Amino acid sequence: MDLSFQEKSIWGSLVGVLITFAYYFASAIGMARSEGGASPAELAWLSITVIVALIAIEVIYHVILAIRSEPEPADERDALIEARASQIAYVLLVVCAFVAIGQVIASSLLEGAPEVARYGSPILTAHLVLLAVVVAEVTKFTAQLVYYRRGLQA
Amino acid sequence: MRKSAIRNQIRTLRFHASEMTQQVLADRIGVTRQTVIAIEGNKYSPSLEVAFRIAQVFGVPLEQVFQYEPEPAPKRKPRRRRPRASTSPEGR
Repeated sequence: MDLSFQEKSIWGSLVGVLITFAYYFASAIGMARSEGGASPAELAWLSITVIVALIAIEVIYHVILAIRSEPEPADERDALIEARASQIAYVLLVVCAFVAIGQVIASSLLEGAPEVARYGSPILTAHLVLLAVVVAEVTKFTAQLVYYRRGLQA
Repeated sequence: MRKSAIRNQIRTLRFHASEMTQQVLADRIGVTRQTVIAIEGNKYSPSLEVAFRIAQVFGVPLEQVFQYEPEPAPKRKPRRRRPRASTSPEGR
């Protein structure tokens, strides 16, 4: 398959986001299930580790990519594909934002319930928002790759 | 995906221009080779500016590079008219 520089770059970013945030959410869920739950300090440390890992993966991948294939500046087709993919990701982000808002409202309404008291915390809300951002980003990358393969009419 | 109604003769024009490569054309019109491939395969309709640049590279009018061929609208089935109920005294 003959991939453009932009496509290769997007593939790298997609894999990087998937690996790092799959690790993050798996670790966060593991911490939440452990005795005593996840402490904010542990989660903060995990967040920093994941962000640093993501930056490192992106930098290393793009350096290798730039060495192996000549970088090409983005043209009008790349810009249009990115704009279309961003539209889809934005809609998804708005939906996820409303889910996060709904969770906050539901947890405040059902404060007495033990399950909600345990999980309806600001940390859960922060994780829902973070998940929304990750899902939107993955959707954007995926939509871009689909548009590159299937074609795009203005 | 809906097929584009815009067809092009870029491949033929490249052939007649001393078998110009896609990369050379891409460099001259300021896009990537992948975009030239997408345009040639009717997978992407370029902006007017890029379309004019392509025509300029080959030294031909725009209509010789791109043609608009819309699909004919699907034929509608003629609606069968229901016979009206007679209101005349004979029909009662």
